Amino acid sequence: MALIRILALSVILTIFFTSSVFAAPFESKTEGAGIFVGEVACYGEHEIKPEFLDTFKDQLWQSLKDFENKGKMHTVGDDKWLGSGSASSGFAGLIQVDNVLKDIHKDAIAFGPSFQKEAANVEMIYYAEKALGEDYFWDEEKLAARKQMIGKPYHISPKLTEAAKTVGRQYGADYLLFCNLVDADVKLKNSIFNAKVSSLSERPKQIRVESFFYLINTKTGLVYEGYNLSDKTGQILSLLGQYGKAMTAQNLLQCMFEVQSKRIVEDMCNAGQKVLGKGA
Amino acid sequence: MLVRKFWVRVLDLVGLTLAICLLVSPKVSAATNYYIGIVGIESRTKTINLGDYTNLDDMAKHPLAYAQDVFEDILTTDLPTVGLTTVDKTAYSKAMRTNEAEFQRVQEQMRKSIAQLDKGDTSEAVKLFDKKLDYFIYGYIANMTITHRESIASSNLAVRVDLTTRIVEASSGKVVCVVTGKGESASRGGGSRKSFKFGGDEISEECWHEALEKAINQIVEKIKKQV
Repeated sequence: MALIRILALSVILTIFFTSSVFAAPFESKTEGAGIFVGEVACYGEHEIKPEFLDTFKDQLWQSLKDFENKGKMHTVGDDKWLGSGSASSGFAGLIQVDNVLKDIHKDAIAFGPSFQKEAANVEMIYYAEKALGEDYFWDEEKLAARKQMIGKPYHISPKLTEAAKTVGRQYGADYLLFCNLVDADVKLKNSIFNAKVSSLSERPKQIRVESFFYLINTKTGLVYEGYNLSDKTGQILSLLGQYGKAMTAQNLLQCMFEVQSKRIVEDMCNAGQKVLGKGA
Repeated sequence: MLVRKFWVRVLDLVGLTLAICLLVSPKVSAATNYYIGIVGIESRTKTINLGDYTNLDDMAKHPLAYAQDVFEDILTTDLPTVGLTTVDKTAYSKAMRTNEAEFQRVQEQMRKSIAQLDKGDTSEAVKLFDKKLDYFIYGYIANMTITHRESIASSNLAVRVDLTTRIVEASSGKVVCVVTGKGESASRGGGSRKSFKFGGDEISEECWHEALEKAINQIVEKIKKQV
């Protein structure tokens, strides 16, 4: 009798332990919606160095991972890793998928109600004129109607909706996340009191970081546009208490990136997914 | 009859203790088959031109070499505790210690590997290790500057470091984990030969040592949680 019990126990335990052997150490959670982190780029008027964009993307990843525990989403991959691609998936190779993601991002920006042609770089202006027509930006009525759409979901062009569907199928993603870091500006402030301060790190600075993010539902092609603006009056005051009076420009930027990435993930999970869910 | 009952109970107890022992014993032993290769650390600050702000271009060499050493050291001691076996760059390590040319060559290979890993290509990183690996880990110094800590009584300088690391799956090149960490030194030391200069300020090497170690330790703790 006892032997049978021991045997039964050992069988159960063997099943229990062998199942844990196959669990990979960095396996992503599967609760909630699957997010594919697309391009993090700057389509603003002034170019931002790729090193800053990479750092911002890393921060965004970290914020996403911190948020994963709440069960609303999980990450499925990013544009740095696109796999080899296969004929059955509709993409011939790695470079083509990269271009498709770039096009989806630019399309989401161009059709977005907050897009301003004057504050975009040449690549973006060219794309917007191609997608919407050159006359579009001179038509007052259309532009006024466009402003009414702020905060509401909108569609990307049908061709790229199909592409988004294909990317979603291939990577198991429910949403694609893109981020356009429009502007990161540090200004040194001069006043009569600090004119004699020679060290640049001790001089007061003003920082302004502006970013848009686009959350795209891969099944419907609907886009949620989110906007973040951080400047000195907003967050820096609380950060000053943490790091002292004088911060270097890099430290300020790093802090802004942390703040912005957290905001993006929170906005995406709370507002973005709700809006896109209703629209669908 | 009594003797038989006694033996049944004894066997029952043995079974229970076996079950408890197996349940309590750590599951880590099941995952020790995963091998992780530490590629190294690169600097993003070097390539950021801030003009008059800093002379980091010259100064980045010392912190980078030190960061690589600390990174490998801490990871090789800490990762095995969560079931990841770290693999040394065995093919080169012996030659690196004795031959400067070989050391430079491996450093160059490391830089190339990191650049390729960023694009999802693991072919270059594989060449660094002679064992079959499951994961690669590499990192960047994203920020390294001086902060001024001011109070009514005194004014202090401290170093702040921001690091980011990525863990890549060797078979597919997929980024499985991105972790960022920051560290800030507590005190200001005296001037030294390898002091860290920023604008008109100077800070001793022990401060940036401390900041780097803190940042790396924070990263290791975060990785442990995700395994």
